[in-house]
Amino acid sequence: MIESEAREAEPRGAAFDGVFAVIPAFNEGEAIRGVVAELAALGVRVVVVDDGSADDTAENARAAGATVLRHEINRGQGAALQTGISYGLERGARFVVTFDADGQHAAEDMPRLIEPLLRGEADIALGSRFLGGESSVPGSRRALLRAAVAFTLVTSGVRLTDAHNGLRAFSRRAASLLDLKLDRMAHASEIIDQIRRSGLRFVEVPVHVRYTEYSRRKGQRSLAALRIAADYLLGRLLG
Amino acid sequence: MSAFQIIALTVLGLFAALTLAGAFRTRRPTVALWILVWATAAVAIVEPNTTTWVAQALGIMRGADLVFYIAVLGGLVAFFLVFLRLRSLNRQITLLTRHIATANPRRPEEPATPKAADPGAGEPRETAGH
Repeated sequence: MIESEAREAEPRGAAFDGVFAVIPAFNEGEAIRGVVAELAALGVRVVVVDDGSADDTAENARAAGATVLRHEINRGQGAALQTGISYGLERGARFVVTFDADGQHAAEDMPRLIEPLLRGEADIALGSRFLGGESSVPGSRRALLRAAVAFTLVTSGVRLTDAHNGLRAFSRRAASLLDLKLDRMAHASEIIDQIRRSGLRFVEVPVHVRYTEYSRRKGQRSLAALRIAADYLLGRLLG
Repeated sequence: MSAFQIIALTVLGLFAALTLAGAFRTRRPTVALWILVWATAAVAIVEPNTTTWVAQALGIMRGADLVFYIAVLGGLVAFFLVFLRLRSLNRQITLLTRHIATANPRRPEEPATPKAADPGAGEPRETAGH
């Protein structure tokens, strides 16, 4: 075995043994180091999928302790997530947690997210910023997220409080059933569809979302929601 | 025969020749369909009244209208087929990109160690190409 592989296979913290955090990142050089460091400090194995960044995202992520998978060309967040999930499964992940790269998620939420999976109560834990967390969601964003919740209820038949939260945890079985084909942002709805179709058990878990100047700058514009909805509906129509 | 008819028939003849030449190489069954399309177009150019006859048989008054409707419908179908092809290509590009990415993981950097005897210590390790 190659030495670097052996080193990666060695757990760094018993509490999160077998937990892979997958972070899709596109031009996140500014924030990625802090995000990775926060997760690595917990003993989580961090996999950053650098989605064709033009900045120093990959270097900063590696320096902070992440394994970096590089998409040579930008393929979108959905594609990057599936790449990281597939890699984690190949490497024997027991749990896969998806995490945003812009620093809006808190690593401290990780134990709470994993807990229902560890206890065998659910196969998937979906983070929700509207379930008692202290997130101060800006008004326009709140309205958009509420619309996304209604959209998910209509299209997928799944009632959630936060349909587009990037913080999610999957058991190995659940992660292996995921097959994201919507490469860009519509993957969030596709995940809900696949969860429903798989019949796996899911729970929503309260998590914090930090709205910093940086995360707001990097976040999706409200108008992009229309394109995301169109991508999703087209994906469902054409398979 | 008008100048337009000569030019149009020449172009159609060229398309038909290219289709047939391609058919010998690839042996695709769609060649018959394409030959039918070129032949129909040639008949419509040589005998424009045939379009009127077909149009009236279909309940459309003018042959020009029939040609217009067919052109619009054909354009839409072609657009949709190209769109599907693009989706398929996009999917293949993503799968290829994923394959390259997962085959070449870049491991975390080693913490710098001051061992002078080990010049490789602290260097980033790559495991590309396995």
